[in-house]
Amino acid sequence: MEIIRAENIDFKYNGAKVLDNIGFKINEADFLTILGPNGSGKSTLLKILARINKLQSGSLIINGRYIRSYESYEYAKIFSYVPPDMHTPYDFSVLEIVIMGRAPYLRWWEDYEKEDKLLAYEILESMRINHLSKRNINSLSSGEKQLVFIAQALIQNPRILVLDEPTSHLDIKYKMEIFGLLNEMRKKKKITIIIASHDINLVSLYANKALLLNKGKQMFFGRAEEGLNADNICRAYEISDVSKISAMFKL
Amino acid sequence: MKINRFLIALFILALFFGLSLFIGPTSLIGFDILFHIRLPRVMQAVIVGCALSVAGVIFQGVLKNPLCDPYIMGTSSGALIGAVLAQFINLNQNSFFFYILIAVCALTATLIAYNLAKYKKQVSNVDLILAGVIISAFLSALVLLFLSLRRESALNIVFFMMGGLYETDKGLLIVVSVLVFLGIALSLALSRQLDIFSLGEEKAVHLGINTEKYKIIYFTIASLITACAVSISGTIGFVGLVVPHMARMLVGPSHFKLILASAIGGSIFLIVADAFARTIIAPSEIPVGIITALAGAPFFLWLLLRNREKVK
Repeated sequence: MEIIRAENIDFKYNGAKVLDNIGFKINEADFLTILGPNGSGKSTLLKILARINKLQSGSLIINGRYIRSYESYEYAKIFSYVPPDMHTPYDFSVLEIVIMGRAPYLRWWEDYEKEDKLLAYEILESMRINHLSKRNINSLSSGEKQLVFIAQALIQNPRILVLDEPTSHLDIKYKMEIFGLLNEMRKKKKITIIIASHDINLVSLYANKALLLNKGKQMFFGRAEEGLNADNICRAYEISDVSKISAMFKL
Repeated sequence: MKINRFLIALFILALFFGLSLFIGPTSLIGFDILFHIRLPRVMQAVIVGCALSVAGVIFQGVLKNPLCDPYIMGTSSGALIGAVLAQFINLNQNSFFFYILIAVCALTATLIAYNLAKYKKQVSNVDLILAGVIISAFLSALVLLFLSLRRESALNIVFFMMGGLYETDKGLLIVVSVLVFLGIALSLALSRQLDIFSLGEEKAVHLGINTEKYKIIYFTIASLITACAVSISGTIGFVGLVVPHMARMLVGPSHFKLILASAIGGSIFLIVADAFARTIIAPSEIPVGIITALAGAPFFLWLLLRNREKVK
């Protein structure tokens, strides 16, 4: 089932074109990776999907409806987003952070119920981080923190989960853990995963669709095993030495 | 256990409330002094302390910025200019429009400071403080301009600027108490969303909060209760900064508990500060705003230094 259909998406920031005619289609339970050098428009595109940036032109259909037609809380029930690094000056506990993901399911006067709390424990357990539940969020390592915000995104019970460079500060153990977990969720719950990342090796293990960007232009969209080859990577990242790249990434 | 702690806090508040009734420039305590002078004054301390502290909590939450309070944001200065304007057009302090004017000016000043600080949809902590300082400086200049034009009402306004708990009309006190109570009740009802805001506005969008709508609601509540406080006691600084921090250390960042704790803590803080203010150089007294600023400014510095370390 088609879950996202993007057509002719342009985005201008202060007159400069940041995205130029982007278009792609992905289905339920797809694992899409968005690759490109810094400033290629990856984050801008993700923020359009997350409705932080307003869609300026083109059409974007999410789960059968135009993106603008959703109320805020409706959208949060099908779409969740994990930003690259989360910071809060306040010392919430891990459980308090995770349970906030239930907000889209509550009316404005309602408070979290016992079921919400149980659900939070369930998610933490399935991610094998339930030992952190009482810890202060600011006392965690960046890897653990990232896992907590993924838990918050998962408890929203979304159809689409978007992550912007989720592994940029993490060591290999957490990288493997996070990707393994996401893939598990994708299979089990048919969640569509979209990841912007620089970890070409890692995403090529899991992604089945790839979108390559360079300076806001779409260099490739299609099946990951076709797209993630040395030629395309070199074009997207403007690297001239193709042989080194293919050796580096075993492409 | 939670309820116990809350009861203990209330008990402490009652204790201070009772004690401070017997503290003052005169040791001759009769029924009249107790019930017509001290009691309304301590009541006033409770209301103003509650209002400013809860306004501080709201600003710190919505803006994800622990350095905010109504004084720093320019909200108090906005309310002050409202009070001055009211003098200028000879508006009676007991009239309904007096409040409206003060509240509108407070909200306007807040929104201007917020929008000045906003850059590329982001509001940085430091920019917000700078914007608040700019607004406050500008509005203070306007107040001084008015002072030099209308010397006959100067004393009145200087007292407003210094911030103190002086005799107020009892009817006024009741109206203001009701408004502050309603504001706090509403912010308690919306405290769950405030928790989410304190993770940042973008995160609030991802969690399905209509941020534009809620921001206006929170700013309005905070400005309204600040305006209430200013209209009976002038601008008293740093209460909204010091108290929420203390409260957060005691009960944690979750806003339902934090708002309750700050309301109680703010009352105690102002009762104690005012007890000092009226005894320290008895038989005359100093404005309580001076006491809170003397305590609050070093606290603000400490917060700044601590936050600098955190950012690193």
